[in-house]
Amino acid sequence: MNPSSAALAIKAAIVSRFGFFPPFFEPAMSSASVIDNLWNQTVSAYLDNPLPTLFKEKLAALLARHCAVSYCLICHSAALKSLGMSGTEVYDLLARAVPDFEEGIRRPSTDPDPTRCGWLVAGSSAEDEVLQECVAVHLGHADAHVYERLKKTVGTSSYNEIISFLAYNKTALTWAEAHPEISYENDRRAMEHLVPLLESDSRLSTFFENYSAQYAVLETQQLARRHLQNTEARHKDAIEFLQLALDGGQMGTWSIDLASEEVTLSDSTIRLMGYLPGQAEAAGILFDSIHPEDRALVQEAWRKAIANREPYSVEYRIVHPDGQVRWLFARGNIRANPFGDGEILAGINGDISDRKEAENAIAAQKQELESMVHRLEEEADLKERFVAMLSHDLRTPLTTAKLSAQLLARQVPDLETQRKVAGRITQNMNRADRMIRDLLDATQIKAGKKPHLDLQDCDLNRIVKDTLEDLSSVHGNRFSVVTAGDVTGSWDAEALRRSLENLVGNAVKYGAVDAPITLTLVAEPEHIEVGVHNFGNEIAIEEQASLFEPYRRTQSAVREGKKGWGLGLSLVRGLVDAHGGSVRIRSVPGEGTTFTVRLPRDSRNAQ
Amino acid sequence: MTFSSVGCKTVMVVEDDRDIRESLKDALEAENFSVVTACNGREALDALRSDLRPCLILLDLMMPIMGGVEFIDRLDVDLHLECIPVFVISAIADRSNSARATGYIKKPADLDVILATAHRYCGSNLSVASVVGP
Repeated sequence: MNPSSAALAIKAAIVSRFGFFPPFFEPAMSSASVIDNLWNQTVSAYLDNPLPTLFKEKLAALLARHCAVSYCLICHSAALKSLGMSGTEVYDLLARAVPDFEEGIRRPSTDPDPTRCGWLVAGSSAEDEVLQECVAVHLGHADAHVYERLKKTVGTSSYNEIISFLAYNKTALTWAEAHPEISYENDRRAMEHLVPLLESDSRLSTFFENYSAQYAVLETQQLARRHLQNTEARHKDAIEFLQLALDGGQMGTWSIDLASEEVTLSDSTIRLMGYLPGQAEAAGILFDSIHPEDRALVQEAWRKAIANREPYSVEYRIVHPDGQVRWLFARGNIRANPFGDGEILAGINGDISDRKEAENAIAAQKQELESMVHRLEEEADLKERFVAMLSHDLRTPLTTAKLSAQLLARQVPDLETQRKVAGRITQNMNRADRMIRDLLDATQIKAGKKPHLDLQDCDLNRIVKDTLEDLSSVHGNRFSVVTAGDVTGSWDAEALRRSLENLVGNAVKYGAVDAPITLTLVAEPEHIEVGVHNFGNEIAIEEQASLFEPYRRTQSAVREGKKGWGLGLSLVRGLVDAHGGSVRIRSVPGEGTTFTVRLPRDSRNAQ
Repeated sequence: MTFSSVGCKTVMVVEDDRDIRESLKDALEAENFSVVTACNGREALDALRSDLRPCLILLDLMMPIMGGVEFIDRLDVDLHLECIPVFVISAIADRSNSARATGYIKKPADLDVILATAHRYCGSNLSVASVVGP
């Protein structure tokens, strides 16, 4: 496309200003507005900029080092030669290192001289510092301090001129880099001054050949590399901290590729599972360790995480190769794999066995406390019922005694009736006395005290006979005795009579109505046994153990309204224990119930 | 169940404790009442089904097989004999169970109170019995 007339008009203006048409503007000729823009900037920020020409050219050359297209560098270097600088001076200006933006620029060696007036002396250290600061601004390395210092050094007016010059240079160098076809060979500055410049210092041709690797490209690469190193160091730091945290919390990391199902475990995860790194294949470690009872739980958590794309979170047991069971938690989520071509489920896991153990201990304690409260409530309830029963039962013999005594007082019956009524009073006083004695003994036994025994040589046949005589007068002749051999020993006869009375009384009260009740005596060399058997009303196995506790009665006894204090069996056991003996129970559906008392022949050793 | 005699001055004693039962029987008989005894509510109901109509029932509450509370219920519902006065004689302090009884005598009971009650509901020992409702 041919340049427009407007573009040509601008070209004419450029030629008239320079005396030639710099190749720099050639690509802009396709658009009048672009050439107009570029030219206007060149005029205002560069050509008409009031900064000293030598300073402007030095700065333009220095900045051109950072442009990969050599046009600007060579033309401005040639211009410096035209302004009177020698090749060596140009080389020394250009070949200096770019100052470390972290160190040099931000901490200048001297403060600006406030008394100085006029422009900086060419080649002075002050000018040099300003040039360096300008390079920093151009490269984007300058912070607020650099700008501040620059302003102080040159004054506000020159500062603004420098900044607009730098801005123009940015545009110009960008323009040049965007048009690598621009060649210095057609620029009059190069045509006239390049050869003398290169001849003046032979190092310059090498410099021009290689500068871009050092400044334009390498600089960027160095920055990038430094940035990368920095990032890598931080990354390494972060990983080390993460590892410390994971180790401290007994945690590890894991990931599973959702497509290939490839499993990756950190060393700490492998150790959590009870293995050593490299000892077994990762997938095997992760999946086979799961406790069989928790496998379904883990699979469900897994399925939900993938199906709903929600965080994966589960607590489960694992089994170590040595059989040890541990608790783990696992948390994770779905994310892209590091290569960006698939998805992984990845996260952390950790050992929570200690926490679980504590939780279980607390749960067990809670349960223990609850059952203790339950027992205490039950005991309070039993005691309440016991006191009601006790007061009722004590009033029964009192009622008979009182009625009988009042009957005697009302009228004088015949002698036979008098004797009968008086006998009834005595019997009922004895009955009340036995109740009180049983109560006191049971209370002592419950408190862990042994009841006092009066040991004598006894014949158990005699004791059984006496007991059954009393009971037969009330309950009729339902009792049979099976005895064999010598059943004598050293015991408290009254204590054994009371024990048997309780057991036989229970057999009558709770056994099948009218069925025979059998007492079986067994003689062994060192022991004797007496069993009391009744048919019917078997005692549930879960009730058998607690039956000997004070106030404790079977549920069926309570349900059927059978009278009793629930002290009889605890009294029997207390009395038998005091003899160094034992009581056992056998209750089988269809066979009935047998309470068996086993006594050593000589109970003196138990005292 | 023992029938000493059955007549218009019959008092029924329902009590499981043998000694109390016999003591009450002796005392009432000494006052010329006829006494019918039963060991529990079931025995008492059986006796009442056979046209026995005592002028007073002295009733214990805590008895095996059938207690006093159930006995009163059955007396009303099964036999429609709510007109027979029932006096509870019990060691149980809580009287709420015997709310439907005609009266309540606490054990250990005074013989004078029991005999006065018998005389009140069964007339004097020589007069013709008249049943008085509560």
